[in-house]
Amino acid sequence: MQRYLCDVCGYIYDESVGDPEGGIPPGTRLEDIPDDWVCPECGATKASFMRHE
Amino acid sequence: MKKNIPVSELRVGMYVILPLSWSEHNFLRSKFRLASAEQIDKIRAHGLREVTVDLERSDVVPGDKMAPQSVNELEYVSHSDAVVDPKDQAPPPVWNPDTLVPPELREAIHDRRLPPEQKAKAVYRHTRDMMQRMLDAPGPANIRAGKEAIRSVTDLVLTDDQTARSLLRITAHDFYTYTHSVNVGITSLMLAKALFKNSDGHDLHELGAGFFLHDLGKVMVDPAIINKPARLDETEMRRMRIHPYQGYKLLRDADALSEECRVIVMEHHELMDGGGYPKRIKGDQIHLYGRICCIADVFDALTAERSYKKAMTPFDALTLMRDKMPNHFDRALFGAFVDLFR
Repeated sequence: MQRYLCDVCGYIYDESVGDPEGGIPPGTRLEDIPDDWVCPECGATKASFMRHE
Repeated sequence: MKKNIPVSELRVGMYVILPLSWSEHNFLRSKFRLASAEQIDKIRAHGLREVTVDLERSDVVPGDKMAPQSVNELEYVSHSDAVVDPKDQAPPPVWNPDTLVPPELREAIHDRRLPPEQKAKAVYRHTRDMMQRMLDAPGPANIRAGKEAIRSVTDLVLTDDQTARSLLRITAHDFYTYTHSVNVGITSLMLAKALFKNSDGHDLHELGAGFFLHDLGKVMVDPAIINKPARLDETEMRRMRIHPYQGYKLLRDADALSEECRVIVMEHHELMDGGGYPKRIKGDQIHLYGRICCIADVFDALTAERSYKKAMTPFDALTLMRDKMPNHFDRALFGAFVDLFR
């Protein structure tokens, strides 16, 4: 499972954790998240998320 | 040993146990030793007739004629005033909707006899105090109460041109968020007033609220970052960039969100060239109200005194914005903004 960094605020989206409060169950791949989802910290769009090692 | 004492017999030094739940009175704790005559008056103002006093923890007892009972008596220093255990002092007031808005604010706004200069000074000072209280305790009820009070200030700016112009001149220069909020509130509203006053299509009260509350989300950012006396590094900037969305969530959860407030709070850091945040929208994608707030926000940041840089004059700030940030702001709006300062 991949991790992604929001380059606006530094929040990490971990695919194995998801974003349950935002309606994204654990195990959801970034590309499968609806396009209207936003970063739970800062409200940035999916487009701001980069792969994070 | 505990005894019920009539409020009229309360004295400084008595250890009281208030019957009200903590959310109903202004004191943080329900049990404490009275430290001032003002506290006795506050208890009386709640309508209590009797209060339980713990005699063992009190420095004076009922019937002790020497202790001060109200502000009308001469204060005298008992030894308990000199030797005070900080834990027993009543803590600072808790802001709730009844105490949030200084009565002096409403008085100043409605006082017809005050000349514009004085009215502006009073309104500015008390609005700033209110903003400070709101940011200290940004619960949903306080946000709603503060928004109501901002409505009155907005009315004043919109209808009393002389006072509004004085307010614009006052926008003072220090580095506190609450001062910045009031400054941006006033300058954005003045710009909106110049643009929209003769049109029906804009809810200027909601606009006013949005402009004053644009940085509400900063309460979710570590104060060390907000108050840092130097430029922020990348990690700190990242934390700061959460504040537009966090402000939106606070307003939404307080049931105080309107469309105007939403766009202002969310978009005041977006820039015309797409280099802003959080959504990196550009040009016409940015709502007009967000574009207005952005100009006022940057202007206040430049003209504010900070510990690591001097305040710029309005003229220098506007020149810098025009020359060094040519693609950040809506050109037409920027032109109208400059006109406010002629």
